[in-house]
Amino acid sequence: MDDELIQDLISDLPQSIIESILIRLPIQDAVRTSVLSSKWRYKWATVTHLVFDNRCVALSNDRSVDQASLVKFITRALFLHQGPIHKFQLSTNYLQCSPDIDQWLLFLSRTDIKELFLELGDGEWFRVPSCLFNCKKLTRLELFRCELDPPPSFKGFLCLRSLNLHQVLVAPEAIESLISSCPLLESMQLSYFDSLALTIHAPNLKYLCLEGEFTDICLKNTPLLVAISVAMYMTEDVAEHFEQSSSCNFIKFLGGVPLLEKLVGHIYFTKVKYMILDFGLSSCFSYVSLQHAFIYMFSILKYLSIGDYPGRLPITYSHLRVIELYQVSFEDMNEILVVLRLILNSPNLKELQISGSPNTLPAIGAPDLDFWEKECPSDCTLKRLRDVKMTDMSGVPHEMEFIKFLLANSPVLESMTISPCVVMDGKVHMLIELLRFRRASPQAEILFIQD
Amino acid sequence: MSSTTEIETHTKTITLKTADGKLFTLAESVAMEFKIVKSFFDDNPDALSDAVVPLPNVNLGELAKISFCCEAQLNFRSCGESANDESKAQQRKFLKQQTNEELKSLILAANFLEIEDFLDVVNQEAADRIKNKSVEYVRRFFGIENDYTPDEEAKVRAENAWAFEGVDPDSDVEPDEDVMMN
Repeated sequence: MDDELIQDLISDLPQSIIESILIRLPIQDAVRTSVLSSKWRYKWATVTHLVFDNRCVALSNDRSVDQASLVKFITRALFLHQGPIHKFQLSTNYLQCSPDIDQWLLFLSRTDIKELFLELGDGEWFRVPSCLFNCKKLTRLELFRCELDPPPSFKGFLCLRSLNLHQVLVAPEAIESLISSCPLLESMQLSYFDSLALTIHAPNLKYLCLEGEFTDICLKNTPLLVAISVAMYMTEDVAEHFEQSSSCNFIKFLGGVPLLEKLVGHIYFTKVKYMILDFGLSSCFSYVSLQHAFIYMFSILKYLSIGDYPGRLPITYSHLRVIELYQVSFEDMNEILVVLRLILNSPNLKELQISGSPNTLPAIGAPDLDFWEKECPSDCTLKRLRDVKMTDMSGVPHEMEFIKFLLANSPVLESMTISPCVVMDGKVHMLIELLRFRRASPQAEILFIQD
Repeated sequence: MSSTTEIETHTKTITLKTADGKLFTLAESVAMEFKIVKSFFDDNPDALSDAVVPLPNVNLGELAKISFCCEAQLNFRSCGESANDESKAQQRKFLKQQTNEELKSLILAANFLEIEDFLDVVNQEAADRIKNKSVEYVRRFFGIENDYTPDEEAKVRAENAWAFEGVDPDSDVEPDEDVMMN
């Protein structure tokens, strides 16, 4: 390449372009640009996004040396930095409870910081200092494994739009008041593993993701919610306590969300809390962790099915297009009713995914098949339903009735995918029944998935 | 590239005049992604819809490429989220084929045309190309002349020694790595 023809067209570009390139570099590379030429000496120092992680420093085999290197790196970077800092991200497992983090947060609280992301290691959880609550301009806050203790004088993050708290230790009252004191909150993720009864007042909330041990979830004031994803863990005693309660959980949870577009009800098998005795569960279950999950059998479906239902549901989910529900127990009529309620009140439903309960035990006594004629109005057409996935089907009568109901009432259905979890005879039986069912949609494909 | 024949007659179009005197016609929806074009019409409400927008800092080559990328992205944007990711992947692939010189020209052009989304993608590509590279390489990539005296450079390196830890000083000057063919 002819050196004479290479002009330096970059160094004089507006700082915004230079910054746009620098923030896309790992921070140590950005700092090194200081050596390029005298114009570049402090270009890195005015970037408004700072992202630190273990890769900033060369790691040795000695943890305390690495901790010292990382602390030095971050402290120097902050000290040499000039101007506002809008985003600060720190992900590392090398800084267990380092007092330096408090100092960095103090520094940041004086810079009008807007986005703060803190992910520290798995050891003792980091106690967030009170200066965090002085960051008045925060728009995004994401914390992993921290302890939060908002001071009594804390009036809320008035600019906060996104709040993600993954495994945090906060007093229950503090969480509710934190949520309700952030009037602009649009997106919230909370994973919490201590019993929590949660009432949410968030007039601007659009996206909600909850995971944990919730004894109660009440969406009191969330009229703009567009997507909900919930993974509930419930212990047996909590579930028992519920059976006594008469307040309708369905209404408490889904009664006030007319703009809902997507609903996902998960069940998670992550940390094992107890040693589970072998209940002699049959080997057809595909999840090893299912045995551990015996205590957590109760999904959001179960939660929603509890309580006295006031007859006609007062709300239509005209925007609800996607429903995904896991661990639906087709032996429990109340759970089936919840699913039906949801479907029948969602005229624009496009995609439906239901996974059954793999340990569905055969019903005691004859199944109440009149139930279907009673509960399904004769004019219920699912006008937009296109794709249905039914997984973990055991072929029990109500599952088949449900599939029959869907096939008979979905005129634009394109695909119905069924994944059974039974042995060969069971599969053949299911197939025979499926063949009989009437289909409202001439182009519907039924895909029967074999392992 | 005769883009006029490709435009359907009922799609509203805008004509741009490049620095090298060429005329380039493209769909209005794409042209309006360029803030500078949008400002032109916002600031001149009386301008006729077939007025030619002058772009004194952009050549035909860059304009054609940028227009191509933006048009593709617009088409994907209407198809939803997953298609949007695919369009970004396509853009990245296209950009990876550009030489360093071509990439720099695109950055300058995108900066002038004020297209935020495209600038993000093109700057990401530039960042990817200089990541983990030696100071010398980056200088050559950007065409930056080192105007530090050896003393000054040593001072700056000392000031930022904490960011150079772990980097072998000898490996800081690498052989010519510009493998892109012109």
